This record gives sequence, C-alpha cells and structure tokens, in this order.
Amino acid sequence: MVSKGSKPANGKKVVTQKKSAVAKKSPAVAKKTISNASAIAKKPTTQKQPTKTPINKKKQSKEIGEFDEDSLKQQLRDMISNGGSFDDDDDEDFDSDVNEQDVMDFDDSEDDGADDFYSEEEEEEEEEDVYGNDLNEEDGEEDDSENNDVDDLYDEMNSGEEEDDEEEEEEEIEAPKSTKRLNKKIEISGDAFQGFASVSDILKEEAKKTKKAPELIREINSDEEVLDENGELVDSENEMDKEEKRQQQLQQQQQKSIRSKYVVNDIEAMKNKLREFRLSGQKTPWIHSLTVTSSSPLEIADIHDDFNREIAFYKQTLQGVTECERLCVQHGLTVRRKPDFFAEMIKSDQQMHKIKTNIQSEKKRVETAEMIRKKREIKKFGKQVQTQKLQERQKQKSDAIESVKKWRKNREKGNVSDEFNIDLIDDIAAKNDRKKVEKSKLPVKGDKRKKKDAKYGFGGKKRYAKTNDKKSTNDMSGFSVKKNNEDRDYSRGKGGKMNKGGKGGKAGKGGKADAGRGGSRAAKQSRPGKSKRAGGRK
Amino acid sequence: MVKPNKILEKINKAKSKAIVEEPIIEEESESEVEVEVEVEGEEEEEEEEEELEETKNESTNTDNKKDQSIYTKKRVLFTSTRGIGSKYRHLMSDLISLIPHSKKEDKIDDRKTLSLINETCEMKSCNYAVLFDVRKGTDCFLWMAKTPLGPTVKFHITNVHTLEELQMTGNCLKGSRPFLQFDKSFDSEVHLQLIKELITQIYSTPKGHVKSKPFFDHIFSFFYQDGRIWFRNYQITDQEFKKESLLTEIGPRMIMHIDKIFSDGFGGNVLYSNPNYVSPNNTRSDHKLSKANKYIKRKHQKSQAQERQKVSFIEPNEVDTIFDN
Repeated sequence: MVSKGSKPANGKKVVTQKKSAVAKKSPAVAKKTISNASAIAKKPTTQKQPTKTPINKKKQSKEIGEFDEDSLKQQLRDMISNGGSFDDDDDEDFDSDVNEQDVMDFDDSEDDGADDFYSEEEEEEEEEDVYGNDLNEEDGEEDDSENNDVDDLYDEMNSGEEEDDEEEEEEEIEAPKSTKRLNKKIEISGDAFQGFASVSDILKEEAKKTKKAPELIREINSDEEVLDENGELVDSENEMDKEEKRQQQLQQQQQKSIRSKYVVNDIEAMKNKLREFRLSGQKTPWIHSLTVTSSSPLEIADIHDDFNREIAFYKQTLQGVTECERLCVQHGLTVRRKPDFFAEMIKSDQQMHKIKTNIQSEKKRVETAEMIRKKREIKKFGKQVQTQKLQERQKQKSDAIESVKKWRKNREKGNVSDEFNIDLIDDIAAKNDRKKVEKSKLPVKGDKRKKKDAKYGFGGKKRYAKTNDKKSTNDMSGFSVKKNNEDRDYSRGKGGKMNKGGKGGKAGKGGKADAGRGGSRAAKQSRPGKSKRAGGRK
Repeated sequence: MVKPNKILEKINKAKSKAIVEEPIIEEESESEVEVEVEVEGEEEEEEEEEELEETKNESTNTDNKKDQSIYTKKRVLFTSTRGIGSKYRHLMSDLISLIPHSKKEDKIDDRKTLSLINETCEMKSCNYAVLFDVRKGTDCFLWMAKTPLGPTVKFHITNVHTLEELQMTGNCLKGSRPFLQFDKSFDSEVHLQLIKELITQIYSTPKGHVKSKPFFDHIFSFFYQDGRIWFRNYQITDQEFKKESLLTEIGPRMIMHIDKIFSDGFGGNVLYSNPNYVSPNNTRSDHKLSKANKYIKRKHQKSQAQERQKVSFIEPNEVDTIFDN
C-alpha cells in the first residue's frame, strides 16, 4: 500500500545518520517516518481541526496574557463542556489513524518490537530532519500538540492495561502500540524543539502548514481515501457508534494483516476432513466414545484466578459425570466396580502412600505453625499477666495484714464493735500474736544493751559456737581472691605466666585461712564488703 | 494398519452380502408356502426354518462385529523426539498408562522427516499417533494425528503437571475406560470440532478393548478457555449420603495451545493456523527485549511525565482566588 518509491530515500537517510543501525530495520524505520508524516498530514483534513485550533491558540495566548479574563473563562468553559466527548473523539481519531498505518505496513509485524527501542534514536533523527528539510512536519506537530498530549494520557492508561495482559497476546497488540508511541514521541520532540514560542510565530506556521500539508498526503494516496471516509464518519450524528464499529473492523483487519502470511482458516477443507475421518462417516456410538458435551459453554471471568477456575471446571465435569452415568444406565453398562474387584491402579500403592504422608505432614505443619503462633501470642501477653498476678497477690497480702492490724488496734482500744467475720478469719493469726503481745509488755532493752547484744550475742549456748563444722569449712562465700592477695607484694613485678599457677595455689590456702577466721561469725552470714563495714562503724 | 477406505469397502461388501442373502430367504419362504400345500414332511420344514433363523442371527452378529471393529480396532502410537525432558517423558508415560489402547515407540531421531511416523504406525498397526516433540529441552509440542490420511493437530503444551505430583490425590483403575467431557464451546468453530473429534477418537477407549475394564471411575474433561484447551482428569467416587458423586483430580494437567492443523498425517496442507498463537521463541525474545533498554525507556517516561504535567496544569479559577486577598 505504501508507495515504495519514497521508502528508500528516507531509509537511506536514516541509515546514514545512525551507522550502527542494522540494515534489516531500516525499511521499517523508513515506514515509520512516512507514517508519522502522514499522521501529521491527516490532521488538517479531519473536520474537527478548525474547532480545536482556536482553543489551542487561546491557550497559548493565555500564557502570554494577551486575552481578557472573560475570554479565559469562556475557554475554560468550552474545554470543560467539550471535556469527555472531545477527548474520546480525539482518541478514536488517533487510533484509527494508527490502525490505518498498520494496515499500510504489512511486513512490519516482526520488526515492531525492535522499533520500539529505536524510537529514541529516530526521534533525534526526526528532529534533524525537521531542522534541515521540511518545516511542514514541525508545523503539523505544533498544531496537534495539545491533542497529542491528551492522547498521550489516554494511551498511557491503555498501555498500562494492556501490559497486564498475557505476554502472548501482547505481541499482537504491541505492534500498533509501538507505532502509536513512535508517532507521539516525534511530535513531542517537535514541541520540545519549539517550546511555546510566541503566538504570532505559531499562527504563521499554522498558516504555512495548511498550505503544505496536502503535498504530504499525496504521497500516500490509499491512506487519503480512508481518511476521507473517516472524516465523514466523524461528521455524522452517531459518530461514536460508527467509529467504534469501524475501529473494530480495522483492528480485525490489522490482526489479520499482521500474520497474513501465516493465518489460514480453510473452513471448507476442514469440514470435508471432518466428514472424511469420522469413523464410518458418522458419529461413533456412545458406547464406544463415552463422550459428553456440556449444555452451555463455560464462562470464567478471570482465567488466572486458579481457585474459581478449578471450581468452574469441577462443576462442569460433575454435570458431565451425571450425564454420563445416566447414559450408562440407558445403555446397560455397569458404572461402579464391585467392591471385591481388585486390579492394578494408575498410581501405585507406594505413590498413594507418599501422597497420604504428604497430606498428613502438611496438616501437621499447619497445626504446628498454629501452635507456634499461639505460643508466641501467649508469650507476648504472658509477662503482663504474670506481673498482674504478682501485684494482685501482693495486694491481697497487704490488705490482709492491714485488716488484721486494724482489728488488733480496735481490740487494744477496747472496741468490741469489730466485725465478727474478721475475728473468725484472723483467729489463728491472733493466737500467734498473743505471744508477741506478751513480749511487748516486757521491759524494753536499752540502746546500750542492744548494741552489746549485737556485738557479743546473748543467750543460748556459748560453747563450740566458734568451732568449724562441715558447713562452715565448705563455705567459700567469704573468700575473695583479691582480698586474699592484698598483703602480697607486687613491687617485684609480674612474673608473667609462670607466676599465675603459684598464685592459684596460694589462693587455696588463703581460702582456708579465711574460712577459719570467719568462723567466729556465724558461718551462715557472709562477711560484708570492707567499705560497708567501714561505713557501719561511722 | 487399517485404512479407512479398506474398512469402508469391507462394510460395503458385508452389506451387499446381507442384501444378497435376504432375497434367497424370501425365495425359500416362498418354497415353504409351496411345501405347506404338501402336508407331508412338516417337521423337516420346521427344522429348516430354525436353521435359517440361526444363520440369520449369525449373519447379523458378524455384521455387528465388523461394525464394531472400526471402533475397537484402534491403536495409538506414542512417540517422542530425542531430547525429551523428564517432565514430558513422565507426561507421556502417564498418558500411555491412562490410554489402554496405546503403544509406545522408540524416540525419533530426525525431526525433519516426521512423515516417517506414518510408516511406523503402519508397521505397528496403529491408526493414530501422538508425538511429543520437545525442542530446546523446554518447549513441548504435542502432535496428534490420525495416520496416514490425517488430520494432524499440533499443540504447544504448557503448564504441565504429571501424575507424580503429590497434590493430586485421586487414583483410578489402570485400563478403566474414561468418560470424555467437552465444553460446549468446542462446537462453536470448525477447527475446534475437528480437534474435538480427533481427541475423542484418540482418548476414548472402545468398548470391549482387551486391556480395558468394564467400569468407569474417571473422566477426562477438556475446556476451551482463553484460546487454549485445558485438560483435566478426575476420579469419580461415590459420596456418602449424597447423590452427587465426588470428583478428585488424578492428573495429569496440561494446557494445549493450538498451533496448526494439517490435512494429512504429519504433513499436507495447513488447514488452520492459529492467529493468536505465539511461538515460545517469540515470547522469550519479547521478554528479553522488554527487559532491555531500561535507560531509554526511563528517559521516555520522564519526558512523557513532564508533558503530562504541563498539560494537566489548570489555571486556578477566579472563584477560587476570591478570598485570597
């Protein structure tokens, strides 16, 4: 469809510019450049063009600030009111353009993937072209900049969705996508190159463009026709519907064209074949085939949702099974095997055992995991619970003691109004207290006596108090190496490693001596530190 | 090997015989009438009648047998190419064990002359062939063919789970005949009808096959979803206190993606080629390409983002800024 005369010229250009480019890809690239040009060229012919351009102008002028506020508002209103339909139209326009391009280049399908990645380079080249040769392309880009931007957004969304699809399907969809991207890119590059220059410049260029655009169209005649049709369609009232239909058609065409070499669907031949190879020219009797077809096609919303898919499969097969069993009964076939019929199974006993153990181990694993989780939770709260309990116990104890004290005080004062229950509860405690009460009546010791008692002890058996016994000899608590070595003279210097053994030996002796010394103090009590002892004296 | 044409000829012959026999009987019956007139030797006539009836019965029986032989005398040749991996080897052995009327053949060395399989089928007296063609040790292509006259269907197999796997807990008798269940969507298109017919012929075990058992405890189900054929094999067991039977999957599982349909056995014209089919080589290369050129892509995205930001900027409305000053 593409006029092949124009191809090589562009192609060569490209090749010369990027020397690294593979020769294979150059034709594809060339096509792209042409298609871009055509895409640009098409815009003026569509009837929407005039309606959009003023808005563009206004917007640009807005930035410069030439227009009043009223006009600004109106623009905004226009844009908003146009909003949805405006965008959609654009997209479809654009898409259809793309489709047409794809219809154009048949042999492209394999190269498209690669094109995607060369687009950047092409972009640059395109720019160079723009500088050098034809201003037309630039102009066209300028005009469409806004539309394209909107399209970009739309396409972005589209591409995002499409990428989620399966890889395999992607390839086909990708072909048109890549071209889309390419187009936009180059147009954007045009923008970038020009920036938003003054309005007057833009207007001038627009004027230029409208004149020069037709030349570009003439290069690709077949496309022109398609476009014209498109234009008419856009005009009509129910443009949306028609355009959608058209799009679908185009997509179908495009799909076919992508693989036109390979796609074969020879229905007649297949029907013949089917008739031919059916056994005895008709359907096999059910007894031999045992085949059942479901009553309604299976519809699964998301095939990748494993669980729902398997459930749907299961349900349909279950229907099939019931149908089969019914037919079996009809044809007089036994369905179930007798319980005493044993024969080799598909899976060996070993395998089944494996499966069983696997299931069990899995169950166990789940259980243990749950156990561990529970334990962890308990551990988390266990500390809190424990402290709470301890506090409670402490509280109970203190409460009890308090109540007892109260009760006792009351009794001492001679109040007999104390409650009966307290009396009962503290009966035993009271008995124990009686002795203490008696003791409290005894004459109180003076301070001097107390100190003397502490120093020398009082009462009890005095004899053998200081002799060693088994417990005291084994008690090493009072021993410390440091104290033991206090009296040693280190002035001679360290003896290195050799001396250490000696120290250890002496320490043993010292321990004994110490134990002996400490014997006077009851062996149960450990001697407090020196500093504490000194403090005590003060 | 049994050529369908020959079989047809045989059937025709048998039919013609039956047709030929009938008039004779009629003639004799006429003679009977004649005999009836003669009162003598009635007993003999009765005997003759009985004999005739017996012969009739015999003839019908033989007819039935011959008819059934078309269905019963079928064998499926299972082969693979060299370099079949363990996974697909297991799959093949699973299918062989599930299909009692199957025969295993040696691996094929030369992938270019697949039409030789027709001859091996003839030698092994098989009329169907299933070939596991594994390439690069990863991509498995399943060829199903009726040899030698075709058709042949080439599938690309993915998502294979074999019987060895432990998550499929079902089990069934070796050699019990499977039910086959197809989704309704198989009837929607011609190529699917063709595939359905071929699959039924290959997978269904005929009644009275020597290795088969007269019970039904599993079902092969085929679904056409997402442009692919999904294969499942379920065990059928009775459920306690319930009418519905319980299904547990036995395996194997696989997804068959239709690539092409050929007119003959391992050759001939292409009757159908799937437009949606993408060869695994292509998907792989695409995947690699999609990973390549990260830098360029990122740059492209950045530029696009900038453009979008420019476009999406909306001047604050007059109403919004009323209370600002």
